[in-house]
Amino acid sequence: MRFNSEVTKENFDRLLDWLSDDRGEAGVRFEKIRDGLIRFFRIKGCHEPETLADETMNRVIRRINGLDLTTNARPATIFYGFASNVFLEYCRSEKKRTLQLSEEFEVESPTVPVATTDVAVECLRECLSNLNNLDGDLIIEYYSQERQSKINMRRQLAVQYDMTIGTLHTRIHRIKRILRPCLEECTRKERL
Amino acid sequence: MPDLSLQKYLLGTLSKDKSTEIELRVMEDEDFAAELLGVEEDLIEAFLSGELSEEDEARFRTDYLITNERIKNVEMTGLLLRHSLENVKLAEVSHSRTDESSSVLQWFSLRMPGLRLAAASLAVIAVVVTSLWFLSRPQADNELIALQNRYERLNQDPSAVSDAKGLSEITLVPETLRSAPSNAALTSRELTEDIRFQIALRPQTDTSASYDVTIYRDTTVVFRQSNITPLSTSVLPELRLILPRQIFTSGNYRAVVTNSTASETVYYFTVK
Repeated sequence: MRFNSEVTKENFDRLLDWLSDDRGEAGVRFEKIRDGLIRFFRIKGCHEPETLADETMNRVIRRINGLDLTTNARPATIFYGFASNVFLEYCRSEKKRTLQLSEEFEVESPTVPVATTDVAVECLRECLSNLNNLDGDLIIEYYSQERQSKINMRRQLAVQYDMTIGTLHTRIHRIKRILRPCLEECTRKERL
Repeated sequence: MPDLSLQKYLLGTLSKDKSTEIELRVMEDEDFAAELLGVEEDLIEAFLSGELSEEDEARFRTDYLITNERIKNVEMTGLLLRHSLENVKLAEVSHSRTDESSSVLQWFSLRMPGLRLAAASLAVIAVVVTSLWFLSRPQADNELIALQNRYERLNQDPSAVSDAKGLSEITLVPETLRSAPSNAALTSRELTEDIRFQIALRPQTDTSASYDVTIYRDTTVVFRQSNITPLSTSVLPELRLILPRQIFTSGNYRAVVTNSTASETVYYFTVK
């Protein structure tokens, strides 16, 4: 967690005291809240959800003295309010940029496989080869079926890799996040 | 919480209260957040495969694709789907024969000993027939080489290829530009002696370069042609080839087009 320079030790201690009388337990709850915020920003489609989660934590700590902590509100609801504002600001900054699917994906009637350039496919191959074998095999298998058959296949895949279906989705999301910078760097180089 | 509510949440059609409930639950329940990721993945794939209703597709564009991160994620999913499905297609083609022979062996292993004896006899006959074929093989090979050379020479003359009349024709389009999901197909009994292949290239293709085309049936090369120059047409630049019907038996084919600078483009077609 990255603390903002405006965060004081007194305010941070006050937050921990609010989370629990026991400092160890308060630390655990603090981390759980941060993880929850990361999930929130991830599901909202934000880039670097960790940074936005830290920004939210910093804002809550800075404003802790102005918050009514005597009510029985769940800590998550307080953090959620701040996180929603951080998200709105994030969206405003995004809108300043053009948000548009690549032209290749703008087909009249999109069908799988969708339009992709050869460069992108080549780069994907290269980036997949940089993954460890387990992640590389997993993501290829995950996307290897369509429609109804994919549901059964993904269930089997979760069993085969000894994980729940939820863990499988999270893992795939994580692998895609690893692949993204590699793919962007590779396509940028290839197009130069 | 049913998937439909989660899908509605992602498309922005759920009430504010219910959306807040979902978002709070995402923060507090890791398993629920993972479930929502799965629903999101399904939604993206449905969009990419054109399975969403018109209304949902519009909402997907206006209410889901609201951050750059989501746009990049959709693009990457499309790329991964294409790559993985292509891998599967190729694997299916190369394994189809192996699978067939394994299932035949399995069938025999489950039947009576008499059948096994019959199978053994057939195997002996097969060995004899194969030996005879092997003895006559050089001649067959020579015929194929002569055929390959003859058509290779023919295809070096673009006007001969374009002007030939009354031929069966097939047009191959890169998968990325096709509107129909199924492969192009030829019906062997309706084919003329020669078939004209029109292979559409991508719009940005360099028409001054020359291209090589290799046609595979499963994993076997059935024809190879080097140094063909594309023709510029009003629609897309294309390569034209005339190929003999006799090299096409029923099966799945792929044509691979390459040149020295661009990476390969693969086209699939079927002969019924």
